[in-house]
Amino acid sequence: MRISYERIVHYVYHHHVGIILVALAMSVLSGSLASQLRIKADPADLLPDDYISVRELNRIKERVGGIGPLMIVITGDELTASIQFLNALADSLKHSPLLSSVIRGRTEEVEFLSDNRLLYMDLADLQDVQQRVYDKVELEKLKRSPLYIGFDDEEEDPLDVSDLEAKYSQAGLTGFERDYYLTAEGNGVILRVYPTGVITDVKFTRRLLGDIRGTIDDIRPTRFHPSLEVTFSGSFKNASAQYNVVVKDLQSTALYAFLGVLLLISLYFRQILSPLFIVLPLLMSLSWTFGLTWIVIGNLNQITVCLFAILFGLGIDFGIHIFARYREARRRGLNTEAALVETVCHTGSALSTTAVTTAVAFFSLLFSDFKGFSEFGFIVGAGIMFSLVAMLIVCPAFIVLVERLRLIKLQQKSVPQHLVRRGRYPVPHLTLILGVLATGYSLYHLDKLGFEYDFKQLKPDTQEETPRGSIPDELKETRSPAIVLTENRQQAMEVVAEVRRVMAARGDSSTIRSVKSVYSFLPDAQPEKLAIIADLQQVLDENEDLLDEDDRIRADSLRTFLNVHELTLEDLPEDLTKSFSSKEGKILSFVQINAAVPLRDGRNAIAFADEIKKIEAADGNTYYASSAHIIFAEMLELMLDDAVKAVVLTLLVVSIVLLIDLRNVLSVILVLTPLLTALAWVTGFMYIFDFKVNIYNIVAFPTIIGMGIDNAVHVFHRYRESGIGSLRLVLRTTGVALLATTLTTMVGFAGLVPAHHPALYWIGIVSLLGLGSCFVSAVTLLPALLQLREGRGS
Amino acid sequence: MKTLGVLCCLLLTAASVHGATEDAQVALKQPTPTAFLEAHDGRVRAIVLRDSTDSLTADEREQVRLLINEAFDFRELSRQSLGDTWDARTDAEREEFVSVYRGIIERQNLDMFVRYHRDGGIAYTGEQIGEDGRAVVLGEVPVKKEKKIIAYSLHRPDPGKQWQIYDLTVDGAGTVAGNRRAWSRYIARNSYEKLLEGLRKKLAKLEGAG
Repeated sequence: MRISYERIVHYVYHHHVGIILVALAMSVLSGSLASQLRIKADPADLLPDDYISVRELNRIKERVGGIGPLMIVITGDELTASIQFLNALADSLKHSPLLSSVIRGRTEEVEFLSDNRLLYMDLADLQDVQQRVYDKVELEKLKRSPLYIGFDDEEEDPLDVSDLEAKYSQAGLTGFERDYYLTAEGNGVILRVYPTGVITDVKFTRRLLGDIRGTIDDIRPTRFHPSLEVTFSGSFKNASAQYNVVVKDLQSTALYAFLGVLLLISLYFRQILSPLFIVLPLLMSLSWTFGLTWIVIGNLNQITVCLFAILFGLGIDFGIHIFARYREARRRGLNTEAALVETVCHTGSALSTTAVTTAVAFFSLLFSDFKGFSEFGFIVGAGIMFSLVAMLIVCPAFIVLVERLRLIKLQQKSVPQHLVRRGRYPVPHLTLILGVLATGYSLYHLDKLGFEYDFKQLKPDTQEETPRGSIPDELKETRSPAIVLTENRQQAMEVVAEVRRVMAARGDSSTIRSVKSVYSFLPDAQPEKLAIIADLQQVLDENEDLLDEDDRIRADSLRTFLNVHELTLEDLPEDLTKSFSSKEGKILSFVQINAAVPLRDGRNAIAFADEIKKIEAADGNTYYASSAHIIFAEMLELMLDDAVKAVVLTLLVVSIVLLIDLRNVLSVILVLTPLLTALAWVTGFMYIFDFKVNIYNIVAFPTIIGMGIDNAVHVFHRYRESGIGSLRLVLRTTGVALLATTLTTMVGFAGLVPAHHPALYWIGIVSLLGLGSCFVSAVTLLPALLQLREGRGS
Repeated sequence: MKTLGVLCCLLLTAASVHGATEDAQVALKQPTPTAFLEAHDGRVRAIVLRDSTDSLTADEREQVRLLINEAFDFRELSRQSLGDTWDARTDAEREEFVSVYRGIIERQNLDMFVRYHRDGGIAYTGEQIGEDGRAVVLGEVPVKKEKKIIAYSLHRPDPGKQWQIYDLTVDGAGTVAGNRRAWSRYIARNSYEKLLEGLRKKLAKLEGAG
C-alpha cells in the first residue's frame, strides 16, 4: 500500500483548522493521562516484574518496609553535645506516627547480652566453665586429703575464667561506645529510626524526611554546640535522594532541550514564528506519546525519564526537514499548497522511511527483558511515529494557518544560487583514507574498552554534602543485606543452615560473611545450657564452705549470671529484633545474608548473587534471596546478555527496512557504511576519553543505530532524487538541514549531560559522540563513496 | 571441710601410730580391710591420746611417721598418680619419686595429725573387694551435722602381707585421680624432671621447717 502524500496535503490544506483542533483535543486528553505517569527511580524497576529477585524484593519491601533503618548521623566537635542532641531528638521522634521505633544506642542490647552471657556462650565453653567449677571443688576437696601434694608456686586457679571473659567481651567497648553507635571516625553518634511506611512509597519517604528535618530544625542542633551537623544515611534516605535526582533531572533535561532546540531552529530559519510550526506539533506528539506510555507501561524508569528531552531533539528533526523544504519550495516561487505538496511528497517520503526505520529499530528492543532497553524502545519508537504523523499532518496545517493569516513571508524574487548549483564531492580519496584510519584505530583499541563494574560510579550524585562522620562497618553490614523471606522459625533455620553449609563448602572462596535470622539472636542448645547452669548453681551452693573469701567473691559474681530462663523472641531487646521487624513493628521470620566482599564491584555482586539467590534447603523447599545488590547483579548480567542482541537486532531490522525502501543491496551497504563506521568511531572516542562501557551508556548504542541511520538515508534519498553530479548540491541543501537536525538532536541529548543521574549522563555523552560521528560520516564518507562510484560508473 | 580433712588425717595418724606401737603381726591377722582399718584405729588412738595435749614427743612423731609408711603404699600411690610417666621411669627414678612423695606426706601432714588427733570418730559402713583383690572401704565422718563419705582404696601388695591404703576419695574427690590430672597437665606443660624438682624443693622446705 503506497501512501498518497498529495491527497493528504490537499486534505490538510482544506481542513487545517479542524486538524489543529482535533490534534489539540487529543493532546489535552493525552496530556492528562501523561501527567499520571509515575516515576520509578529504583534500579529494580529496570528488571521484569516476573523475575524472581524482583518479585522477592517487592515482597520484602511490602512486608518489611525498608531494609535497614534510616540513620541520623550527628557529628560535631563535642561528642557529649552530639549525644545530648541525639537524646533530645530521640525524645521528640519517639511519638512520631511515621516511625515504629527509635533506637538511641546499644545499652539495652549490651546489658541483655551481659545478663545472659552464659546462655550465649558456646556450649563447649559453658561446659568448660562447668568443668572449671568442678575442678575447683575437687581441688579444694583434694587439699583436704592427706595424700594430696599441691604446687606452691604454680597452682592453677580453676575459677579463673578471665580467658573466657576476654573471648566474649565486646572488645574496646568502653565509655560512650558502650552505649551509643559512634561514627567510624568517632566524631559523632548515630540515631537509628525505623519508619512505618514502605520505601517505595515516595510520598511517605519525602514526608518522613521532611518531618524529621523539621524536628531537627525545631530542636536546633547549634543550641547544643555550634559545630553540630546532622545528616541522613540508609536506604530510605537513598531512595528519596534518588527519586529527587530523577525528578530534578527530568525537569532540567526537558528544559535544557526545549530552550536549546528553540534557540537553534530560530537561528537556523531566522524566523521568530517558525519554531511554532514545528514545536507545537512536536509538543502535541510528545503528549500523545507519553499518554500512550501511561496506558501501556504506566510509569517512567530512571532511563526513560530522559525521553522527553531525547524525543524533543529527535522529533524536531522531522519539522526542520519539512519546514526547510517548504521554505525552499516557496523561495522558488511555489504557492502554499504546491510547496506543501512538494515538501510532503519528497521530504515526507524520505522522512517516513527514516522514521519507520528508526521506530522499527527501537521497537525491536521490546524483546529485551531489560526495561532499560524494552521500555526505552517502546517509548522512542512510538514517539518517532507520533512525531512523523504530527509533522506530516499537523505541522502543514499550522503552516497553512499562518500563511493564511499572513504571519510569515517566505516568497523571494530570486532563488539563491547555492540551492541550484550542482557539483562533485571534492576530496573522496582523502576522506576515505582518513575514515579508514579512524575506523582502524577505533577497532584496534576496541578490546581495550573497560567495563564499569563499580556500582558506586553508577549511582546518582545526590549532591549532598559529604557527612563528617561515616557509618561504622557493624552498621553498614545491616544496611544492605540480602533477604530471604521465610514463613516460620523452622524455615528460617533451614535457610540459615543451608547457607552455612554453602559457606563451609566454599571455604575461603565464599562471598558470604554471615547469615542470620531473628532466631539467631536466641542462644542455641538452651535446654543443655540451662541444665549446666542449674548444675553450676547447685555445685556452688553445695560446696560454698570449700571456698575461701576470694573464691566466694568470684563464685558470687558467677552466680549473678546463673539466674536465667529459656529465652524467647519476646525476651530479646528491640535493638536486636528491630532489623527483623515489619514496618508495624512485628517480628518477622526472615533471613539476612551479609557479604564478605565489597558488593560495589559488580563481579563480586554477581558472585554473591550466584551463591545465595537460590537456596535449596534440606527441607526440600527452595528459597530465594534478594537485595538491591542482587538486582544490580542480575541487571548487569541481563544487560550484558541483551546489549549485544539489541545491537545486532537493531542493525538487522534497520537493514531489512532499508532493503525494502531502497530495493538494492549495494545501496543498503552504502547507507549502512557511515553508520557502522560511526559506531566504531564512538568506541574510539570512548577509548581516547577513557570512558568505560556501563549498564547505562550501552543503551545508547541501539539508540545511535536507530537515529544515526537517518543522516545517510536523507543524503542517499536526496542524491537519488537529484541525480549524478549533485553531491555538492545534496550537501548544501540536505547536508545543511542534517546539520541543523543533528544539532537539534544533539541539543536534546546535551540536556542529559548536566544530569546528576549517571544513567542520563552516560546516555547523553555516548549519544552525543554517536550522533556527531553519524553526521560526520554521513556527510563525508557516504558522499565520498558515492563520488567514487560515480567515477567508476562514468 | 577442713574438719573432714583433719578427720582423715587423724585416721591415718591413728592407724600409723597404732601400727608402730603394736606388733606388725597384729595387722597381718586382720582378714578384711575394714578389720585392718579398725585395728589400726585402736592402735593409733592409743598413741595419739596418750597425752592430753596436742603435742607429741620426738619419739612419738617418729612413730607416727613410721606408721604412715606402714599403712600407706606410696609406691602404688605414685604409680597410679604418674600413670604412663611412671612406666617410662627407671627403677632408681621410681624409688626416688616414691621417697620424695612419702617424705612430703609424712612431713606436710604430720602436724595436722598431731594438732587434731582428738577430733573425729569414723564409722565404717561397708566394704567391697574386687576380683583383683583390691578393696574399697567406705567410712562416714560426722562434719557439721552432716556426714561426709570417705572411700579408702586398699590392696595387699603381696599375698600374705597386710592391707595397705593407696588412695583416699574424700567426698567424691579421689587423690590418685586428682594427682594424675594435675601432674599430667604439669608434665605436659613442663616435664617430669621439673615436677620432681618442684617436689624436691617442697620436701627440702618442709625438712628445713621441721
